Amino acid sequence: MEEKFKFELIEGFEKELRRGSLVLVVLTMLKDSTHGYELLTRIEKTKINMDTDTLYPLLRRLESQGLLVSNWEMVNPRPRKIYELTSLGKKVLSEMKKTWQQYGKTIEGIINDD
Amino acid sequence: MTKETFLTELRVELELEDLPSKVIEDTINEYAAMIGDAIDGGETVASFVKRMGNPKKVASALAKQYPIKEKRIVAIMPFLTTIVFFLLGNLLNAWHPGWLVFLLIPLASILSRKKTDKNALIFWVILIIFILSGTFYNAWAPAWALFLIIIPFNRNERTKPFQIYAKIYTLIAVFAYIALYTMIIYQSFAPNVEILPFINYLNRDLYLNGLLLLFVPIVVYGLKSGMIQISGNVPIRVDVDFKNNNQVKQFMLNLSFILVIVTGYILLGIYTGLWHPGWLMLLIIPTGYILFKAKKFPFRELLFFIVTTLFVLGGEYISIPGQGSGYVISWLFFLLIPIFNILSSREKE
Repeated sequence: MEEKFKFELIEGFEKELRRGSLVLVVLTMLKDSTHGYELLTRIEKTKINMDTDTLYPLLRRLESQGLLVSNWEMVNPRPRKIYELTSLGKKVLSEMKKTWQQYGKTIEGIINDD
Repeated sequence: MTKETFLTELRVELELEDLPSKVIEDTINEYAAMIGDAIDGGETVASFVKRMGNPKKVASALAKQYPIKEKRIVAIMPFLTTIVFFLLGNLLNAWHPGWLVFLLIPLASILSRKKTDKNALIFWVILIIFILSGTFYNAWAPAWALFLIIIPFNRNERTKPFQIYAKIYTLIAVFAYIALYTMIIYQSFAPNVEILPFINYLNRDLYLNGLLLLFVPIVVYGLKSGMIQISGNVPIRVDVDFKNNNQVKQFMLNLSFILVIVTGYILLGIYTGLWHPGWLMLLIIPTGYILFKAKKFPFRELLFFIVTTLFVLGGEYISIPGQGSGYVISWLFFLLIPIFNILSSREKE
């Protein structure tokens, strides 16, 4: 029972971390414009464990927030939707990176002092 | 699952979520391209689904990005129905069945959608017919069979090949059951009427129970298609490996248990005439199996059986002044299921 509870807590913690960092990961992966399937493959290579139904809705959200744009292009052998960062997306990514690094340092400091 | 079936199911799910047409087309085109890429990369559609989610999950996750504004009629329906309910109650003393107006709340919500969820609509329509026929004609007993109609209308990969036959059979079986049940009951109260001459007061219950056999194919279809699920627990496996001694032993043990209960029920029916509600003892089969498998008391899994038992016993043995039977209120026991589910679910994040 205790093991199960512990497992659920850790799982929840990992999920929160993943959720908090996924936007940063996706924006970083889109530094070079690409299409959906390629993006999925890139993210999977990072070993980030992403929920199956997360990526596509996230792309839609980032697009509606003006952080990226998408256009249909003919990339052999079929039309593909190509995603690329907007200038706002690039600025936000740069700020997010700084925040992440700063936050990471702070947390490292806290847990190392413990 | 093929690329085409995935895309067809995705379209249906996106339409059910009431997403804008442009978003639906865009999503379908993009998924078509992504599956094409996956297949070119040597992947199967099944593994793609594992990575990107099944159509239902995709549509439901995407719908969160496009929240629908609740239509005005849906928003004001709770207030309208409350006004009508109190008017009916105070002016016409029709508290019952005036409360039925509250069923308009979920109905309005379902009907207001561009693409209506057929299953939900069928359920609510049947529920209304069930309550009305029970309230006004005391026909709770055969009318419950209408709920079986929901089974073959479920959309599912596994149901497709036989779905049309299942729909036709279910409709015929349900209406035949209701018609024959009504004839038998009518005849037993009007001795001069002889629609079915071989049925008399003594063998009436035997025939009424025999009619239930009409539903066996529907239940088998429901189990096979996954529409009826008993929490993944089935009292008896049909795919036994007869070379495996353990499996054969378990199969024989389960079969003996089922035979003992069924024999007990038949003997009870023959000697006491309690075919109904004696059939409740058949519920010992799944409940016994669930209890045997569980490590702690499986309240959630047993809830349906508990509620069904309370519904039938309440309907048969509670007497309501001025009403024919206790079923008038005992169906309310079924509301314990959603109440329990809400109370035991985690709060939404």
